[in-house]
Amino acid sequence: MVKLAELVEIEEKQGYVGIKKGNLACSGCGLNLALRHALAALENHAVLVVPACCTSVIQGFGVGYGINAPVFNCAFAAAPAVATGIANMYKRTDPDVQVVVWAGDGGTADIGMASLSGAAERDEDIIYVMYNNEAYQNTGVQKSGATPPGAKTTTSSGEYRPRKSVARIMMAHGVKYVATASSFYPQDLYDKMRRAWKDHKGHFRFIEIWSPCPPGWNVDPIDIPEMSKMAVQTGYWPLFEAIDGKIYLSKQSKRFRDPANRKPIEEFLKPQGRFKSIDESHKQALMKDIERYWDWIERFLAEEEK
Amino acid sequence: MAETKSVELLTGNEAVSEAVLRARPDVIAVYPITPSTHIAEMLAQAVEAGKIDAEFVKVESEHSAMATCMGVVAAGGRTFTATAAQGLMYMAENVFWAGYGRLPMVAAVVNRALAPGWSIWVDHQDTMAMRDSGWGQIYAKNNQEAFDSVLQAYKIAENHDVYFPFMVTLDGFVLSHTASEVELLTQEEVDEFLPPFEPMFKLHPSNPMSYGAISLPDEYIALREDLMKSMERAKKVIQDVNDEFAKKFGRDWGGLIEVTGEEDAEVGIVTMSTIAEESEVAAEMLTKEGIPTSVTRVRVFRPFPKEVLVEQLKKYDKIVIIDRSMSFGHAGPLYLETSSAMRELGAIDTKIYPTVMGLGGQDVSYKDIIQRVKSLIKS
Amino acid sequence: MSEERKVHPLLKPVHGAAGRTADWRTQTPKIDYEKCTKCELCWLNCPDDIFSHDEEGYPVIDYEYCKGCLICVAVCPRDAIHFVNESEI
Repeated sequence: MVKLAELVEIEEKQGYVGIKKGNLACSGCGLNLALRHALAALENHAVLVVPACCTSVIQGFGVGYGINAPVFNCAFAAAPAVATGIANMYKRTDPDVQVVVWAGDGGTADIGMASLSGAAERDEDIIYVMYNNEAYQNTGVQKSGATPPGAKTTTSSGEYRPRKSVARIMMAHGVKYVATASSFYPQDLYDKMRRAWKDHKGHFRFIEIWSPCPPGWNVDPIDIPEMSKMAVQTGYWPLFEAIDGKIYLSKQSKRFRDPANRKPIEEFLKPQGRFKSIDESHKQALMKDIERYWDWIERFLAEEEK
Repeated sequence: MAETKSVELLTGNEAVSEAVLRARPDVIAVYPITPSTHIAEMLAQAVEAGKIDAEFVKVESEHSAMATCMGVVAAGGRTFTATAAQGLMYMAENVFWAGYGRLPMVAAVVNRALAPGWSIWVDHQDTMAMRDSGWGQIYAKNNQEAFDSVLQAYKIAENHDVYFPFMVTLDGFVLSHTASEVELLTQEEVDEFLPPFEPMFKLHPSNPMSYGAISLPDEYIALREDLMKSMERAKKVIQDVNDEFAKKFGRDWGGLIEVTGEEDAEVGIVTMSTIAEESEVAAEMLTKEGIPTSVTRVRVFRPFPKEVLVEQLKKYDKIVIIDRSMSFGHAGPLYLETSSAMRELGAIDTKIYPTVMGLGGQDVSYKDIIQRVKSLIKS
Repeated sequence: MSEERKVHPLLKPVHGAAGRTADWRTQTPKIDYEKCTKCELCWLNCPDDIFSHDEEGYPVIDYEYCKGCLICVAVCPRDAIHFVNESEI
């Protein structure tokens, strides 16, 4: 794991930090933190493709923009294909460039799914990062396919269906490197971006980052670090890497493979206003969804992990 | 690749493909759809066989095809795509993006009717629906012109005074699948005519920029004003490129419009694409019958060549405007745009007879045109 | 072309793309340097890259851009950061 002192050196001294302070991200935004460290791992080699999402807006407007990388802002459903175009061109003229899609769950799990599927199937040389704030947050908290059971959004007071897991969909596409990460586990995120970039060049790589959203989840930022720990420790958000279809649990999630070790789900739900009106059926559906996720992990767990 | 100039019997799709293979594209993305599918196939096969040094991306949809093309241009490359009807509708969002986003590229659209009724045959509804998209539009009347226009389109689009994308259209099946003589240019000839693409900007880590972030009204208007001015400048560039091509290679497609037939004709048939070529025969026969007729073909629909067109149409007593599409709720777009231009530029003495023919692939022969013209001007 | 053309919507990276984001604050964090052990956790977890370091390596808050989210307060293992219910300190 990258050491903190190293990270300070990389971001401050070498200037690879991914964002410029004073951008338009909400106070306490998980995506801004993720961008900050994820881009640092790519050391100025990245060209970003950003479909309509929070990241489109956090750049700011008019004066200049608050991200330390070139950005192609594109239509909602177009990012994987635009990235394909850029990647195929730079394959010819400058192979050092690494194209990165930086998209929300809306533009990936829902409207961008067809384009994502195509780019993944073609194994394009793209690092696709989906930051998952579990709803269409940019347009005001409408439900997405990734919204968990029981969460209140502006288009639903709480559903019962499981989350759409794009990480698992990507594994089913045979994507070489698939990982889950979390905004408030920054060193782990940095490492995964780094490994994706260095160890699997030339291939399609997918990283899904759990990205807390203070206004969308109705959570006070000061409660977010603890809530992020609970997401992992309740088993709600497993951290892992899947390489050539084999899952390797990240250090922070290993303990929670055993359901007996998982914290009660209430610890996770407590600080989030979006779960305030959750009823027993919602909670059952949520627990089932978590179980479903871990069933998949068990099925594809690498031998050495068992 | 042909080393010597040759005349071959080629379908419209083949002609377009041969042009693209000589245009030195970097990355091509084409999704198959009838009647343009052969273009996807020929280009994919040529790339796989190493006939040209390019990438062919087998995208999973037309929306993605246009998105991929946009990415290529933003990375400084030359690109190409082809489609028709429903495919054009599916990529429409990105067609507008490429136009308003000022990403020069060339697309071939094989004109096909829009569903329902589910038709694979020709009319112009599809490309007419894109006339607001910020693209240039060249409507080819035969396969030779399709070949020539693809090459001209790159030169026009990439000119910094223009700098917006162009579509070259050809009538589905009538041209796309019908073989006729096409004289090909050699690679050397094309290289002499078409220089490498010099992009106005490129997204690269060495000079980070954000392309296409939020635009407040003042910036938005400035962007649109540049597009409008560029559309105006494009008229001259299109004419110059046409004339340069004519001088070099001996084929003159008229530039913005093409007039064929009797000088001092009383009646003008104003139309586009293959109906225009068919009208040339109709005009000859009408003239023989005592109705001096000539054809004014609108070759370039965008930018709309109102100045040169009205200048020509003023000379007629009567004009029959034949549309091959309809703007439902009003009238055919060629008629709407032509008549408003005539009014604006003071051509109020010429009588106008609008008509729509050939929707859904209905065959339009010179006989049909003669009959239609006669019945209209009699009324 | 001699005149200034606006062909493409292009922007360059800047600090303060959203203006002086300090104006967003209703609460302001403050570091107690007696308690700080330079563990870097505040620096690490700040979503807005607000922390720089002084010559001795202590974290320094940029009060021009700090949005007052207080995540630094939450993650400090030494309770070396507290906050005041003021926009400025």
